[in-house]
Amino acid sequence: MNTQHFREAKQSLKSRISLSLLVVLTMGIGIALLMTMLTTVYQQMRVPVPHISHDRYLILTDARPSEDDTSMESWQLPSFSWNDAQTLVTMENPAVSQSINFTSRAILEVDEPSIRPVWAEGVATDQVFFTLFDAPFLFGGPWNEEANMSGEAVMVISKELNDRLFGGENSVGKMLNAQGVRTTIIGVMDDWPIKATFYDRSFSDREMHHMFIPLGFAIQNNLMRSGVMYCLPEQRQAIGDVRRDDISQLMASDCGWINVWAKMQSEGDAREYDAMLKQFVEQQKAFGRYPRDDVRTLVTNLNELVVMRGADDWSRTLLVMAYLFFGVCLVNTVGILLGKFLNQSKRVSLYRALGASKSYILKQYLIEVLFLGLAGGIAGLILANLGLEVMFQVEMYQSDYDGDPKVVRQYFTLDFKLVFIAVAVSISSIVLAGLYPIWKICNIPPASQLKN
Amino acid sequence: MLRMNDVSKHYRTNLIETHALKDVNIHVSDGEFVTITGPSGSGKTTFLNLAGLLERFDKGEYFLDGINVAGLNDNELSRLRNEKIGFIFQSFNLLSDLSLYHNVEVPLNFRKMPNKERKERIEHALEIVGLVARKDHYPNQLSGGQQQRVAIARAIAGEPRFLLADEPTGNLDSLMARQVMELLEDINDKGTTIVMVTHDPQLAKRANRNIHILDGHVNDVREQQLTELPV
Repeated sequence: MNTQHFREAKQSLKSRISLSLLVVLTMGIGIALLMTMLTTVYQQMRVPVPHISHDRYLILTDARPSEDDTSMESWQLPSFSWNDAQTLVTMENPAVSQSINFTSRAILEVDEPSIRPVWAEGVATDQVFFTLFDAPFLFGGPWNEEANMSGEAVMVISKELNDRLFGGENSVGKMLNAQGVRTTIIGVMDDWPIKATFYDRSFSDREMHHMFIPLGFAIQNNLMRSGVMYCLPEQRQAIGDVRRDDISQLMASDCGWINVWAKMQSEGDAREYDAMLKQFVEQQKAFGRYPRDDVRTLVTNLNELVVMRGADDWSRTLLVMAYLFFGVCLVNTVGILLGKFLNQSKRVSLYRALGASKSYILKQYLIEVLFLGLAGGIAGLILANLGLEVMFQVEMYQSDYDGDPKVVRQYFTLDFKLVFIAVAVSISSIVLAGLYPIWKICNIPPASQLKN
Repeated sequence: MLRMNDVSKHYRTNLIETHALKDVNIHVSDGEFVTITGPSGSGKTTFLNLAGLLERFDKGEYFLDGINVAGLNDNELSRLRNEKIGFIFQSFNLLSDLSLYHNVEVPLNFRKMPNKERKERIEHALEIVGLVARKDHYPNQLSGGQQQRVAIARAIAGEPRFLLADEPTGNLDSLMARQVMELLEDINDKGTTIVMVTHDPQLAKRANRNIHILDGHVNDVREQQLTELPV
């Protein structure tokens, strides 16, 4: 290719410029819709902490009674009871480290009366949690192992909460009241590049957690349990309010509410853990627990978990529709390109007569098509941003503006990879759409249309 | 320069087969000015298309400047067209969105050439046809005769050895036709071989010889017989 091909392509673009613009618009709309839906699905399918996701495993078993015939995928199974979770983390197993957690909420207040108290959601967990999920710290750090169950009133807060309560200053050592209990801040987490609170299995995509507290502190102060909880009706009756009443009853029950995670060095270790889990289930069956005939167990890493969970049905349906619409746009593009190119038959016929080879014509029209594809991709990205903004507003409206806009927006934001995909899809698909029109124009016989 | 031996061309549709040229034997020497005459549908355009490598023939041999064109692929034929042949059409076929300069440049775009040489060739060609001063004008700013002169400049810019002209004066009045003819004769005098299709017996008489085509058959009329052509 040389500059002459580019000059010819530019000339061709300018002739019947309305058709050139129509191609760009058609491709742009198709790409925009496709990228809008692709972005929402892609962001839902993003693997959290991707650099370590391959060896971080979620552990689950099906402890439900036989009568519960609710259809559940393996990744949807209830969490462990407190006692089972304790057994798993203390028994000999192939995991390098293990962590347990449950979701909690508390009203947090600082001593400064001008700052309003906040309802903060977070996790009660152990100190392993922070290393297991590579949580970044801005100030301070996590508590030590002794504090896990000692009831020590310490807390790690998010950067956002630190900004709100302490104006972004280093708040380590400062006090705040959690449900009226004086608590010392020992760490401030930096922004954590995760899309959802995956570690408590809520996959909440509307708000991130702002407080991280030791299990013992949450238990001793009977802090609210706000996560998903699997309790049979009779258990609920015995416990009362499983979220607010005395936590010791909940801890003694078979209600599932504790999430168990493990770091394992290899898939072999994971298989070994699963075998151990099955053995544990068999042992428990002897005590009348785990009553189902075929008790499912799950030891799956984060990558597999994301795939199992997938994107929500609505997004996937819209994505399929977007693909179909894009197909229609491509078919239209073929028609427009055909009309545009054949309009130049006489010129091409003359070029061929004067010595232009088919490959010369091919290169010229290929450049033109590539340019149209690039322009279509850029137009598509601009329109996709508009589409994503609309989707974001709809999502916020659906959540009654309760979600954190910063968190929700993550799901409606293009990143470099998506931008690259948009341009690549646009260019490759327009080349595909342009194949027939280019073939047609390249095969215009020389001088066929020059007689009159 | 041009030698056709037993060249035939036929067109086939679903229903009929038309023999456009049958066993044509023609030899045009270097520097000759040959006219092609014949009634409409006789095969003149087919002959011109075959001679100009715009179409492939079905049978026979065709040597252009000593090159057997029968086995050449599209790229080779295109290069040969570009380097050896200049085309002049009845309807000029200038590109209205290009200036005269860029119209003349078109065949040079299809070959590698330093920009300086390209510019010199274009300006020289326009100088020959007397339009170098108007090189930045556009075709629609010129008369028919001037447009045909630009077309001639385009045909000779590549310095071909062989010019094919398809009724180059067909769309011109007699004065302009005469000027164009004189221009072609000048070019021929400088050694370029010209084959020109014409319906005008007066113009045909001005050539070295005339080839008359009738129903796809060729009747080669030698120079001495040209004076006997009916007016």
